[in-house]
Amino acid sequence: MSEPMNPPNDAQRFQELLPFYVTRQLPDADKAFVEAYMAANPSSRDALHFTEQLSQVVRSIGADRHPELALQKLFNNLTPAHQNLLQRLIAQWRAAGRGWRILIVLAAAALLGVASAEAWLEALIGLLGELGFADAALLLM
Amino acid sequence: MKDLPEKELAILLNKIGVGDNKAIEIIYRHYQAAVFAFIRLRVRDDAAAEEILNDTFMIAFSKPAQYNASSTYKTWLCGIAKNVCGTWMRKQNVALARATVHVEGDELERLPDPDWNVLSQLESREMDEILRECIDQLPVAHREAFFWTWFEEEPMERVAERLECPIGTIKSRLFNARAKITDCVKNAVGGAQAYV
Repeated sequence: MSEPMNPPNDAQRFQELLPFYVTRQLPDADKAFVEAYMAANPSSRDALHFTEQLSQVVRSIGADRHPELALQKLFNNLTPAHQNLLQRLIAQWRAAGRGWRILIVLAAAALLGVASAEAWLEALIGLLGELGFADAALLLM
Repeated sequence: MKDLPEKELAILLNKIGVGDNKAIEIIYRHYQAAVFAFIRLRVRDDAAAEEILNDTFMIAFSKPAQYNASSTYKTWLCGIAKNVCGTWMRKQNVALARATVHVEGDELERLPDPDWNVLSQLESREMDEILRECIDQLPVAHREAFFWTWFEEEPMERVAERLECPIGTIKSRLFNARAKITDCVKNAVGGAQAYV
């Protein structure tokens, strides 16, 4: 049997608790009060239905968005800004294939004039292994 | 939506500091939906909300070390978003002039009990569209209360803390906002005043 309720105060308390009842954020005592109030006042279920509907609309905000596109745009905007020059060079170095890295090393060595014949040969073998003969030949031509 | 665990977040932010895009992606995916909803409830324009979301994360990720963990990361992001929204709105005089219903104070007694059955006249899809439009017409403080209460599903004490007002104000603000929306729905479907 539900406890006796003072209509105006109970109606107000019911309305105040309802937004948090629909999200299950009420302590047990308040939850029990809301349920007892609805049992004693069947028309109050209209307010529950309205509040549930409204809360669902709020929860669905942005549900039809495409975050992939937004993320790509963010990357495009962010990359130049959030990395300094050294970080960008490191990132690009890591992103490059092994073959390209070997080529860069060879070019740098050639420029500095410090590459021994053995180092050249080792790098060339690595390049052939990485890219295949045809691609490596094309790259070296 | 819960925040990322503190340790995991700290590691990810450090990685962002050295240019790790994967860390950016993880944080972005975790927070973007909530931050978008927070923004969208302030600016009432989908395209502008996307731009502001982008700017918010740009700021957050450009200087990840600025987050000092004195609040949750979500709260911090929403703080940035709020500032970006403010800047955007100051530039948009037209948007500022858009219709906003006037809600009398925050006292529960001010508004009579409305006709909560007003939605029964509407089809489901039409109902959602009208409710969205009516939410957009509320003052920003009421829309923000909706965000923390229903999108984030926080308890009333926490919502009151976030909005820096007493619990009683939150209760009456949520009541008055709902009452105004019944009125707005009634007007949208061509009926008379919704209050009974």
